[in-house]
Amino acid sequence: MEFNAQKSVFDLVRLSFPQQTEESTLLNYKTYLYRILNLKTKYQEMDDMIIEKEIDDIDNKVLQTRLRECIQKLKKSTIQKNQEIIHFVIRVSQLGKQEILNNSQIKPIFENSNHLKQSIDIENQQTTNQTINKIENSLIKSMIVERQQNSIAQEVNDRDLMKDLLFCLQGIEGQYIQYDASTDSFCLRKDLNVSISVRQIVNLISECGWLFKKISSFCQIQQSNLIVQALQNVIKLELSEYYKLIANLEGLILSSQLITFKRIHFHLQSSYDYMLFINQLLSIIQTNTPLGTTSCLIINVLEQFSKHGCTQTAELFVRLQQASCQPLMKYINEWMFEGNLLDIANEFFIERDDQKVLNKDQGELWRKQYKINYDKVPVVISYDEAYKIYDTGRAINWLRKQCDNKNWYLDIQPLTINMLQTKELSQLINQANKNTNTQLVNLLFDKFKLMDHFKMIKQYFLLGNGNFSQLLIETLYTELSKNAHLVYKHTLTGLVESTLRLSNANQIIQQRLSVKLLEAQKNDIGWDIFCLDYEFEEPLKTIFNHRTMLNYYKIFNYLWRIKRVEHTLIQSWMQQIKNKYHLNAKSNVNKALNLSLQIMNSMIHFIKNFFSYLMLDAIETPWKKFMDQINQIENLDHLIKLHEQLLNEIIDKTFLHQKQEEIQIILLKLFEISFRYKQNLENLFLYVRELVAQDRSDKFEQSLDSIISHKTTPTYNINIDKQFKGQEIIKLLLQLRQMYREQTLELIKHLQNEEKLKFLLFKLDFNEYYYLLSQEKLFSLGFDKFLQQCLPISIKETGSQKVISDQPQPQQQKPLIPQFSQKSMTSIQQDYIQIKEGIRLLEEQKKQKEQQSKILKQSQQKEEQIKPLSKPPLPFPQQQQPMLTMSPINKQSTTSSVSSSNIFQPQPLQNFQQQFEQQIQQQQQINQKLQQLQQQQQQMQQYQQLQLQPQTKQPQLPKFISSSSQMYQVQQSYQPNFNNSVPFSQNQSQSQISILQPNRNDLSLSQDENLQQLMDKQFNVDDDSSDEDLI
Amino acid sequence: MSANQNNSSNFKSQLKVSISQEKEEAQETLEIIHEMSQILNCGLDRQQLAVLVSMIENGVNPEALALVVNEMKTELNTYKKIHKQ
Repeated sequence: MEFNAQKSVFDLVRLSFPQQTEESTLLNYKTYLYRILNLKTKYQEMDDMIIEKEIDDIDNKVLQTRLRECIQKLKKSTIQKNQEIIHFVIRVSQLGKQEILNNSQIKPIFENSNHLKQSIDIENQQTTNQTINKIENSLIKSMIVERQQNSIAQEVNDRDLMKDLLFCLQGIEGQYIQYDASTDSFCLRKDLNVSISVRQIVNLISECGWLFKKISSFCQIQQSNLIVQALQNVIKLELSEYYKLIANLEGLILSSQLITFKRIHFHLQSSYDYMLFINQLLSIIQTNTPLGTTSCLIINVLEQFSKHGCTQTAELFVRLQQASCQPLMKYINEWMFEGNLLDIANEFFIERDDQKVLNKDQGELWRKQYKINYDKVPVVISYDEAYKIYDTGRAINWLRKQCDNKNWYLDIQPLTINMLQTKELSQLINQANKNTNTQLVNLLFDKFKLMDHFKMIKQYFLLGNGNFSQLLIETLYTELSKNAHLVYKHTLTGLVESTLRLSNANQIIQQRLSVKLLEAQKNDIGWDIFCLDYEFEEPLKTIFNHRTMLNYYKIFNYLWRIKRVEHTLIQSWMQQIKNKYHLNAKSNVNKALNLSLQIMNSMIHFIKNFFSYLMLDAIETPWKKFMDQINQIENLDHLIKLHEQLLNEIIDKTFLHQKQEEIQIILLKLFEISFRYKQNLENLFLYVRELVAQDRSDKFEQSLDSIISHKTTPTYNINIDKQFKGQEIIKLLLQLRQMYREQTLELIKHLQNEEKLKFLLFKLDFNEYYYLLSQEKLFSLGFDKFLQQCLPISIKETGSQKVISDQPQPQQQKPLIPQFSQKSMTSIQQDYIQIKEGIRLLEEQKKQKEQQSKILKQSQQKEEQIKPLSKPPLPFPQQQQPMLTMSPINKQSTTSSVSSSNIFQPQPLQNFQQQFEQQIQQQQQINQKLQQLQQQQQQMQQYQQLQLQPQTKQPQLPKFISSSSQMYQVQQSYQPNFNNSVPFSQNQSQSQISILQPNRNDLSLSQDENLQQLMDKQFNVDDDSSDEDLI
Repeated sequence: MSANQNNSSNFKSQLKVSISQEKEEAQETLEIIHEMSQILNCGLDRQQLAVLVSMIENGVNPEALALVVNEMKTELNTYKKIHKQ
């Protein structure tokens, strides 16, 4: 059973105090008494004399004899510490006597104070305070008593003193020389009667003992630190010299008479100096131990001391240093040649990072498993050397553990301590480092076929393999167009695998390539999250680690999106080509198709150029650079760095970097527009197809009609819808073009700012088309402008743009009329009524115009002053479109309303007079045509009577009427909106001008269709007349 | 077997005897110490002495222990006085 002093004290307290005492108070007393027990009081055994004296003090002689007997019995008994017990008992009785005296003094104070006290706790506290005072008193008193007792001066023999000194030199208390805790030194007992000189020299010599005690106590501390252990050992070795010296001294003291204190002091002098230095060293070490870098510190401090001026001291420390560097060298050798970390006590400057649970999948082992701690690198090894040691060991460790190459060894002699701080060491380290790294790199290239993998990555992740990417995009197109949460990895994997088998991919890639789905966000579709994945085993994973793979995914996903845009555009091109025959069949959608083709071409131009920029400039160039450099790599770190550089460069050039987010956003918008375009195109073709289908049914029905009697067909209203739909599509296309242009311009603006992207800019804007657009030097046709060109009315009105619009007119006007000549199933009867109405309206208008032209002449001069104030046409149609949608008539016919709205706006002042002159001419023409019309009307009536059905051209006839009649209505209803800008009369005149146009168009159309018969020609004339009728 | 058993039982009894002998001796020494303390007016009973002797046997400084005992006595006096009042 272990002895527990506290428990014993507690037992004692419990026994002495009354039973009813509370436990807590007992505990209080116990702690208090235990504290006293721990007060280190000087203990000196009582001599027999003192005991005798004590016994003599007892008055009763019987008791004296009994006591003597008891003491003798006790000494004979089996108890070992009988002396102590006797001392204790006597001491208790002595103190007891003193206590009585003390108590008698304190009593009154105590009694007085009691009145004041209310609670026991406070009293207890107070009493303890008092008792502390008391105990101090009693302690002092006892010490005085003791001194009085010991005051008998002792005479000491020099020889005895010298013998005592020998003990002292070994750090043991002697009879005369004792350790004084208060001054922390050995000194001669003060009660000894010795001369001052002897006392001084003895104290001086005993300093050695103190030093010895300190040093040996350090050597006895158990340390796991190998370097500290080495130091302890070497110090012990050094101390053995000191032991020898003491043994010699002992011999001298015992044998010769001539030995003096001075001689002893002289002999000890050198040892004293050494021990002084060692102690200094130890004190430095011990004060810095809590900082945690003990081992490194020891070597550093030893290094400092070894440069001591005194050669002997320096030698001593060199010895110490070499010994304590031994474990360090062992660590280094083991690390450099085997890749093992022997360090248990965490004292080596290379550390294993165990704190983070290293995820093997992340490929971070190389980077993070071992770390160099520069705080722990001792002075004897430079940082450069330390890093190389670290690098070598890491490479070897990696070779052994990851690459499974256990047969390879460094063919270099192990490092030794003598090499420390020499050139040889750094040379050896360099060599080892170089050898290991070349081995590692060779292994990567040979065994793990790094280059092949790079090739694969290039081919599949960076779409270097066009065959594969093309096939893949075709196979995955439908699957990826699904919503992100409907896209499943397994289906995609199957598709990718089948694609791989179809393509010219080799076996390796088939095993490694898989599909990875990125994290889907809301509204994402399959395209956004699809990504290829490539599996790497461990050693390669370090190069293709998680971070780099993320970059690859990013790049791939990006390229994949562009590829998709390209593919989409190509598809739409194909669609366009496929549907080309519709263009001939139904020329009224020709304009829309033309427009879409134009947009598509600009998109394809952009995407082709951009994609080629990405593939060539952004990927191929850094890749080539990387491939050139990869042959010269020195170590794995270098490779990793190069690889990272490559990726960064690619990411930077492909605008994936975060700082290029703006460009990225623009690009995404452009892609989005492309997709929307595709949708639109599909709508358009749907529409075209409907038209074609309808045309067929028209023909069919017409043929039926010719056989059977007239069937009134209610498709007229639908036609309006159709037309509206067609217009809507054109409108959307124009919107898209506008958006597309805006985004492209913005992109180009961004590109202009960047010096290194000049080439891309040059590619995208080869003929400076966009540049001029951005400078607003080129006129961009907006929706309304476009319609102006489409519609016969407004052609003359494109005043300021005449230069541009005039030239394309001859070509563009050919398909213009067909837009109006929509298929209609209206019977001739209906047409006839409408023509009649049209004539009536025309006549009315004619009268109005004649009046208005007079007014106009008057107001012209006034207007010339007002006109300059009117704003020039706005460059973009989007701003005008909201106005269009506001007008309710739009729903019936957008074209006419838009055209009419545009007539008013871009009215140029300069042309006004010309127009006016033209108007006069036109009016004359109108008169002529009116006559023609009347003739035709008669002809029509004749036809009707004959019930002859015109085969081809007749359906167009009512259409003209309908559309133009609508236009007419619109003009009237629209006027109020624009009254502020253009006078009413002018509108009228403009509408008159438009009459010229249909003629020209029709003529051109008739020229095109030479095959038509004479009958048709007649009907062409009819068409003209119907137009004129309306106006 | 029986011999072995006898041997073992003998050994045990010897052990018992030795323990009892030790006890008796301890009792005797305690008796002696008690007498001494009575002669010297230490004011300690047998139980207290037993604890104290065991402490000394275990290497407690007797000087300090003497102080502790003395201190305890004074404490006990004051305690008793307080409780009487």
